[in-house]
Amino acid sequence: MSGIPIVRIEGLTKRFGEFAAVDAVSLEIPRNAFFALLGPSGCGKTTLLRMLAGFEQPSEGRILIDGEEMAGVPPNRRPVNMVFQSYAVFPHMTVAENVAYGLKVTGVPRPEIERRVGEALRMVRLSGFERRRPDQLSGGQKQRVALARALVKRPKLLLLDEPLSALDRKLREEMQLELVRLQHEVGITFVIVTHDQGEALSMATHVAVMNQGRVLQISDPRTLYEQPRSRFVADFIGQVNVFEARRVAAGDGELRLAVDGIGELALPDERPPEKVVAVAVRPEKMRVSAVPPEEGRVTIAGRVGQIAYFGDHSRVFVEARGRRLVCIRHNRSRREEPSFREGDPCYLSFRPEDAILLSS
Amino acid sequence: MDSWRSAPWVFWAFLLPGGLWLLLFFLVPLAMVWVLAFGERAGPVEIVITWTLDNYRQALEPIYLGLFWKSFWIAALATAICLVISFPVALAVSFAPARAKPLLLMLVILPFWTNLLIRTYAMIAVLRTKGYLNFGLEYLWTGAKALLTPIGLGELLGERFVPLSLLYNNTAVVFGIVYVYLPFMVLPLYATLERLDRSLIEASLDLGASQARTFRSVIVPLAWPGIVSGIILVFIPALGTFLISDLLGGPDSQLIGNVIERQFKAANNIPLGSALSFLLLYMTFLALALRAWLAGRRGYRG
Repeated sequence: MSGIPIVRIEGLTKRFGEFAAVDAVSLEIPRNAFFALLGPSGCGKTTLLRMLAGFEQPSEGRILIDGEEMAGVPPNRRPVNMVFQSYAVFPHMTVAENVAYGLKVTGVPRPEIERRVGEALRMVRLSGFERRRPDQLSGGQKQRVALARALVKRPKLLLLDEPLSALDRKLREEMQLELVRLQHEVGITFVIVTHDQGEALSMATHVAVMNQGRVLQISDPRTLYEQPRSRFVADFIGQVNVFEARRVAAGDGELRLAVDGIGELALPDERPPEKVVAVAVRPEKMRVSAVPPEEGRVTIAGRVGQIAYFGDHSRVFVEARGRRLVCIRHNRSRREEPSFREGDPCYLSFRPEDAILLSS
Repeated sequence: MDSWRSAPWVFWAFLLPGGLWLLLFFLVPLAMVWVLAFGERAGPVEIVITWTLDNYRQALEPIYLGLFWKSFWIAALATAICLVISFPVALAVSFAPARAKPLLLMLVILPFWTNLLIRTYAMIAVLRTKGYLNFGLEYLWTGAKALLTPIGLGELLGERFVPLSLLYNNTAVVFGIVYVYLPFMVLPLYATLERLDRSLIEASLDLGASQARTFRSVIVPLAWPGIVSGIILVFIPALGTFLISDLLGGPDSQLIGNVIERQFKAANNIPLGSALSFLLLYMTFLALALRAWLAGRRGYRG
């Protein structure tokens, strides 16, 4: 059984009237993955998640969970549990009653319920909170109750709908690490919906980027960041400088492109996509210098437009040939050197192999 | 903007009209009735306040206690029926598409646009022996008879259609109370169900609970404040009703409300009527105390 993916989605479409919230999506989620559905709000990621849980019926296509067809299976019969965005912790039950609920309604014997509830609360570090009521809990603690309540059912799939969006930043970062730890501990496949690219990259083993109901790219986080295929993905995951480009020649392990704002660019031809419409460079792959950089780097001359200071790094915006490019400088030393001021002439440069080829 | 804390006179100014109204038209008359309960009749219209307890003694006689008890169970039965009918209605309205909600709520409130008396008379037209309900039943009976006679089962339905006596009995009174006070149950239920977080219901289903289990373990406990409000709003007016029992009830359907009304009017025994009124009021207080106790005990508990 372990050979087949835990989730298989084929041609899944969900229409609300004329509008296709999810549009012909096919994908597979491998066993034990931490799978993130990432996209802007309204891209269909939550609808997709709700179809996995059984709260929405697909208009077309099918979902198989562990090889089993899910059409017509109601939410309460699916081997799937969900952590809701609002946590949906039952306000009229204590923490222990909340966690026990899913076991109680399916007729698990009482001693086993007690044991498993204790175990689940220990796992989310809420031991000792059994008799608390939800209104006595913080947001982070409610979140843990929701997690324990879902995990205690030992589902084949744990669905998380924007689970961290209501937490403040510090707590959110803490919970990100916590979720990854939990996923390793329980060995259950997690599917998380998020619009926060940082969250997706730092937690997931697989990220699917969605826009307008379609899945644009599914990759591991590094590939997604370093080799995005489309302009949308490149732009949505982190910041990027995009230059329009077109192919001039290829061969001898080299790809020659005519790039707007740069001129002709020769790139190592490792993975040439069928067509190239643009070249993208991440800001941290850019270097800004007061003097022309050494040979072998692609250089763009310009002027410093604006500097935004973030403490650990600064973003330097450079005006070059009528456009605004962005470059990240890591503040490695307490002394900034060389120091730039707005209006200073400067050189932006990057290594040719750091250029990303975009095919759409 | 000034907070009302820094300008308390604003607060009092707004409080004044409503406060005066309540004082003049509610508290003062209520106090008058309370005092009259301790009076004696001294002539056709004169009443002397002698602080006698005779009126209360009379009001606690078995005949009146029996009527209190009967009013209590009729009101309780009607309230229970209201609750059973209203819950699905309120649930359906709260789950209806946003655009349909105002219309559905209007349909619930619609009967209020007609005078209570006219509505109750309309019930008579529906329920009486030659009323619409019996007419409809007769129509069905005739049809069934025509179908069953050729296959020899015609005798099962009897020789002729016997109209049901639906009017002028206790059933008609309960029916009337349910009909008149239904919106008072639907609206508070709807208000709490509308505010109920849908994801709680989904969470329950997601955790493996059936629809029925979700209803019992999540929806009902969370709708409890609305259920209690609805019960109070229906039960208290039903307890003191006299119009419905007067029009729809039979000779044995007199409720305590009818007796009180008669004391103030036909029997011209205002002191006894006042004493009975206050006994009813004390029963209501008891019901409210019970409510507070229930809310403290059951509120937000499974």
